[in-house]
Amino acid sequence: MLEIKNLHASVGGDKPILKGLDLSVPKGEAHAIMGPNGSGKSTLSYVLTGRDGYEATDGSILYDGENIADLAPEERAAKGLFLSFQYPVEIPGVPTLTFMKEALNAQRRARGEDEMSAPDFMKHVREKAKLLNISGDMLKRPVNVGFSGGEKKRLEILQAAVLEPRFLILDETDSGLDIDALKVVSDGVNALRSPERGMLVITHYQRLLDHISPDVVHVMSDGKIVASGGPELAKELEAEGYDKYVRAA
Amino acid sequence: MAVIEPTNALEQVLLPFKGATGWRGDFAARLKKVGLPTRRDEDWKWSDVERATKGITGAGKVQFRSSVNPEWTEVRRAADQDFFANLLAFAGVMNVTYFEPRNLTVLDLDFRALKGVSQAAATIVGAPGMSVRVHEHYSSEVQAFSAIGVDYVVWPGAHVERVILIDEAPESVLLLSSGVTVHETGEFVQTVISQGGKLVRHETQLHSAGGGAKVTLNAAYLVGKGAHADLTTRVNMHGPDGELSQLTKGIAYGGGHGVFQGKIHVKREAQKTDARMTHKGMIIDEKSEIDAKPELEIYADDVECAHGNAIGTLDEMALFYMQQRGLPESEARRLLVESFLDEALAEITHEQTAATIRGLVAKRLKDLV
Repeated sequence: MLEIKNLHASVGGDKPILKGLDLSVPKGEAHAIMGPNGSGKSTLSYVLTGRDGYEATDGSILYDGENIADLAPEERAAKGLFLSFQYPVEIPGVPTLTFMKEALNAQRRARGEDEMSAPDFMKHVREKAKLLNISGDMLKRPVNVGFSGGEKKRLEILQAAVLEPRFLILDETDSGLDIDALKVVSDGVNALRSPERGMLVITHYQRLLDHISPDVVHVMSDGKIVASGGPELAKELEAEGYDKYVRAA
Repeated sequence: MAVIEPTNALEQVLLPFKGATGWRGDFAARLKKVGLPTRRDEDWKWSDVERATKGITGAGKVQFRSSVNPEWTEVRRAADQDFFANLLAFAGVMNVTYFEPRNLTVLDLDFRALKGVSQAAATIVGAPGMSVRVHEHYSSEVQAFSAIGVDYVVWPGAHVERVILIDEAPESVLLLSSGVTVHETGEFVQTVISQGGKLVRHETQLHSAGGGAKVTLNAAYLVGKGAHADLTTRVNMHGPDGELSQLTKGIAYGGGHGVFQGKIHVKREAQKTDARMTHKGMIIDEKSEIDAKPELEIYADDVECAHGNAIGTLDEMALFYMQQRGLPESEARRLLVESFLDEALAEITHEQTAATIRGLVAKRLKDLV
């Protein structure tokens, strides 16, 4: 489903961060990427989703066989690529519900589908919000404004549930969450797992992976995948640290 | 005897003052001597009227319509206010139109400046204990230079909500001035929306008696290519226990120029004044400019006063976040800008009016995105 080959990327035009990254995530699978600070994990999430200034300088990003490296962020979103941000951005003045509706219908328009009517949309959101313990009041507030860290992360997962993407990238979704919030968010993520959907889970810690059992764990260091294995690899990293991989890179 | 036709805006402005006496004569003499404001005048350093009105001449006219007939007209015997734009407007008309709405809740005023130089003036009185909403709409033909003064008197217990929509034609200059007096326990809530115009200056000079008087001054400006909006306020707090809340937000894009000058003057007698002034500007591109000068002048020692000024640009991260969710860049930009300005429109209580204004702003924003 997602096939990354020899990906090189730099930030702001000059500083190389990704240095020949290879990664393949078939549909229906959840892959975790772990790695020390500065190894390029967040950069990878931005390059995949098309953030301005994060350009692929070599290699390819194939999504369902199509190279998406030159597509605008919204075009990639309409194709089903979703990024749960490490630091969800505040958008003052735009109510969360309005934002989600505009986003959903923009994606639907881009795919040549009919827009979702207001009553259908409300029903759709209510079902998803319930699972994530998100109140109607919260949805009336501007996007991420005045939300706690945990609320912001829950809202990211709600957006994923509402937009129903085909491929999710979760960038440190566990950061800033207490144990209870981690459980709620993980349940939300698990509810999104399906044979038709792929997932890339970027994290520093084993604890998120206890809840979201990944099929494959990759270790990233200095802009490359340096090791891959089963869930036991995450446990090994938790016990021994990244040191040997950093040195190997 | 040959009639000498005015060759510039100043001569045209001075024409009706011929033979004027009293305060009108004094003002005309001063005007003749110093001319129209230029960048050399501290109060006008970002808004050069002389330059902006170059090429505009001929007698114009302000077409004025109101939803009800005025209560009375009166020859103004003295200048009630003492600032240039207001004097220019009020001195230029013989009869001032007065409204004192008692049996209605909404008053609509429509000012349309036709090509050429013109003046108009009106005064709205908020009678004691009365509540009134006034909607003012300003528009123009191209190449119009109008000085319009609309003064307000808010008597004790009166509640006046004022919404001003300025939608000027390119190549037109509007100096809109308001002298406002708010008596004890009076409430005055003003929202200005200014868009378009070669040079638009909305200047409010407000005197609050304190004693529970509440004043809200909000404004939003939107300036694109060739447009210049200047929001200038001076609030004088005269007595104790007065409140002021002021928020101005503006967007400059495509070479537009925004100006905010705000001054709060708290007299020694005005203890326990609670006054807050904020200006936030957003400059979309390098061609555009926003200048701001917020000032506090406080002579009382037991007050809460604050001012803030922030000028930034579109939040690139927010833009990316919205695009990542599927919104096309143009739509994301529009939504960000609209929501930025929206805070300044929050005090408009009439939903339909607020919706109309939001619609106009959205229309204007189309050329931004």
